[in-house]
Amino acid sequence: MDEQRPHPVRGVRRHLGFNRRTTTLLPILVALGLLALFFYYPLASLMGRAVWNGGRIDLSPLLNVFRTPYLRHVILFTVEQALLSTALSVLIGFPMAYFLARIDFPGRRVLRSLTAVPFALPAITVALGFVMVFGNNGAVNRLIMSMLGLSNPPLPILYSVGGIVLAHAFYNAPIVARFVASTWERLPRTYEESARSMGAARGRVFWDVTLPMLVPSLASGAMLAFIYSFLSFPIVLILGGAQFTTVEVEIYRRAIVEINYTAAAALATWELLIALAFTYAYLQLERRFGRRVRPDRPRTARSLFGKRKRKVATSAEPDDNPTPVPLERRTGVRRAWGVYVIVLLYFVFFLGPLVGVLVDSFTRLDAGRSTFTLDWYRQVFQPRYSSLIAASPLRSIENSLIFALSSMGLSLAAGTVLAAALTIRRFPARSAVETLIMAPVGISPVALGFAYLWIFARPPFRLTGTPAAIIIVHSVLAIPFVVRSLRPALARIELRFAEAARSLGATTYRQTLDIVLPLSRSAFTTAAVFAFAVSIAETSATIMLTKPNLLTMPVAVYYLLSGRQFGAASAMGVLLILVIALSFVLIERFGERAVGGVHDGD
Amino acid sequence: MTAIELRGLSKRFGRVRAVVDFSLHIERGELVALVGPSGCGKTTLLRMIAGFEHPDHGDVLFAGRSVTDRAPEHRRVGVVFQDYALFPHMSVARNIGYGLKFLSDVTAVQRRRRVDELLELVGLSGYGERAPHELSAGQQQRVAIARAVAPRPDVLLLDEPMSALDALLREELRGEIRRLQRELGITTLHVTHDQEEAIAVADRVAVMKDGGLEQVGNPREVYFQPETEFVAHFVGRGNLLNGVVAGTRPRSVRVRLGDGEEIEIAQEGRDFAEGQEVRVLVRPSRLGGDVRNQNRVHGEIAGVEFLGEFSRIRIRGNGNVIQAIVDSHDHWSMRLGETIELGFQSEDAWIIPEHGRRKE
Repeated sequence: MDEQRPHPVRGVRRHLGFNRRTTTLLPILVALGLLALFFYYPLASLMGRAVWNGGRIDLSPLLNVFRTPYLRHVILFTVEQALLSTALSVLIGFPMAYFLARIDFPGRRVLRSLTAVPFALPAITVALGFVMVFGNNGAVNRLIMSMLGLSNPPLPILYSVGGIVLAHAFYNAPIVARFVASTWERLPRTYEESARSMGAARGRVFWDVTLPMLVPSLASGAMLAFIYSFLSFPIVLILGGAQFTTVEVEIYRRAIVEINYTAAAALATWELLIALAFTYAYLQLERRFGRRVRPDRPRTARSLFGKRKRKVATSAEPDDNPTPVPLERRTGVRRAWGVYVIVLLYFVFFLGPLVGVLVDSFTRLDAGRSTFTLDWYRQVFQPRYSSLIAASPLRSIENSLIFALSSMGLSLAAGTVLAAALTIRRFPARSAVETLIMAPVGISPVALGFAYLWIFARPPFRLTGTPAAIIIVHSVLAIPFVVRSLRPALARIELRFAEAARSLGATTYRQTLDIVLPLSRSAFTTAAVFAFAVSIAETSATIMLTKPNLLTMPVAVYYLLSGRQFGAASAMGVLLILVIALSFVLIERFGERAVGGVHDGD
Repeated sequence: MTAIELRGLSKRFGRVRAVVDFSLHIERGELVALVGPSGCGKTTLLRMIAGFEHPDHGDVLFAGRSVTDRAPEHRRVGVVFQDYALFPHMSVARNIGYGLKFLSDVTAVQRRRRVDELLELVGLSGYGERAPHELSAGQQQRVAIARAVAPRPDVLLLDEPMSALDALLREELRGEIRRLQRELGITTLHVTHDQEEAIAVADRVAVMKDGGLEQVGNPREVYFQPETEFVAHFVGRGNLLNGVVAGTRPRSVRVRLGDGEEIEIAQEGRDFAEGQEVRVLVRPSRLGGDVRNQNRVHGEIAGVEFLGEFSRIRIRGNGNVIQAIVDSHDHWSMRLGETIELGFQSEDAWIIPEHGRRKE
């Protein structure tokens, strides 16, 4: 007993028993090793493929990308549509942030949960929804046609830049809104009020005081929107048609349709480099701004892991549950008509595609008349082979669930070890290691899937066509989310709780069991559900690796859509959305939200 | 001359009545401390004066003119908030100079000079180019004050400016606030929940409870002659003795305590009637062992607390527990359980007139 008593000076880590190098270092090395094997090795060999030709270095495929006018055009278009999408996302997201943060209106909470849509909806269903609502046979066009008696769809949004940009804004505006709103909500009113009392009028206060303090989160949100739009695959694949192609879609076409691996690898290499540069810029941005401008008072409570309490708010995942501004302080309450109109527009915009898919899944169109039907669901649940998707639809549902649960377990195990290592241990180049771990977020899943495509075909893997192939990709993509969910919770557990437990006689083991786990349980739930959702929604990498026996729900949606089986695609899409919605309800009930008690009441 | 007049202000938030029919005059150059427990509506009151809230009823007048419908930026009010609200993206100098930008008659050169002046006034010369977060909490508070007074406002509002500081710094800074306020001659309302701070710095203290004004007066009045039991309790420790009026004379009242002992209190006799139940306040510092005092209480010593120069003793009499502050030198001879007799002057006791006469 006595020899276990901590040395008074060596302190914290000793208390927690984290100093035993073997127990910590080994799992970390294993987790990092797996990451290297399944993430960095495939990427490296992808790049190798682009420059290594016939036993020597050959840069011509890489340079050819820029020599070919068509590919040059594809790259330019990718950047262009990403910029436009970012601009529109900010245009829609920023006012939304204002509404969420500063105006009290009925439905505020609902609008807030709508901002979770992009995290919850697989891009393939967003694309599907846009086809249903804005497509040439979609609700909007049909409505206008019947109202004005037109014979042609008046709004050819489908297969246009406008459609792509609009869908990307649908996806990314909520991200911008979440980032900005989480800062805005936290921004004490007193800043604006001081400025007012010093003589600045409302508009002036916004420019001088409010906006400068929002710029960091706005920049982070916009940067993320840009990266997502740049790497967006299913939306462009479906809404772009043959005419509009981004780098992602082009890689897919070259690799899967033309089976020209060298060209695809060259393109993917460029894309990786560009995306990595943006991701790096994003992380830098976050780091820099996160330090400089923090409106809230510094907290001094010490953290169980690490010296100071980490400033959780600066991490990319905006805190969903900031200290609510007491109603008394919400002076911006103006129940004007304008507010309702704008809020209504937001609801229509964000719910429209969802409702479109839902309605379509129950509708059969016969000679211009729509009737209610359950046929599409019957089709989706049938165990018989369907030639269109080269498998049975039921099988795809089964596969999706199996893959999601397996990769949830795998990524949770690896992610926990990595999150704990990043939070507890201070080692040289920790931030570099962190970047390495978080990198899959900024990686094009298409490129990653493409890399696996031939790596898995060769020894030592020989995994082509096995479920393991899909499960590994999904796990690698989910790990950053797991790490992100767990880290703040681990950093937040305060040293004094652990110390109190120790002083009451708890051993290291008991302390972990009684203090650390219960206090981060909700974060584990969040992490698990995130991993599950990432896997079940994953389309881009899966589509590169899929085989009839490996068909998943999102890929089935794509095949059905390509075969113009809109009703069945919608039914499958609804099921997919339901499964994901259900997992997010789980987060809502048992997830991070419940950790309120861990906060220091400063 | 009245600088601020609050006329029947009321404000409710949903079902919560934050401020109820609140009226108060503040003279020019006066420092009034507004105290009350948290949630009593004092911050809401301050925000209505600053223009951040609009009252449901009533009027705010500055120098006799209504400003109720005037926007905050046109009220010429300086506000120091609890969290200071120093703009994190501006240097200290730019923070202080911010309000000067909106004065058309101040040139950039004058602005710079004024900022330097203010930095010197609050003892922070040379700190102008620092970022707010590089300063200590006490320094940040000084910057906040300098920033608030920079545009020479007519009124200064302090919203719990000390609550984020530790006790020692608080004492130091409240003296400094007082000095600055006198130097600038600025009409000031200082909102705080700390009664000690209030009576230490203010010309007058206004005690607030449940959104209404409980009592306003100079610190001595509020401390020694509270109008209500709430004020007696809120503003410092005190002994409240239950008794019945035994007899009244023009300048004194006799009260019979629970144990039959009678005490004499120097208060207007006609305010009370014989047989009326009353509560008598005697502040612990006013109880002493001096035998020349007319009034006596006695009981057993139930506790002694050594506070350094003084000691606090608790005496259990018939039904009452009485606290007294005595010279520590005396307490060495006291033993627990010992019977002791303490006396006080008739001027040092006060019958709380609750439900009876009220001032203002």
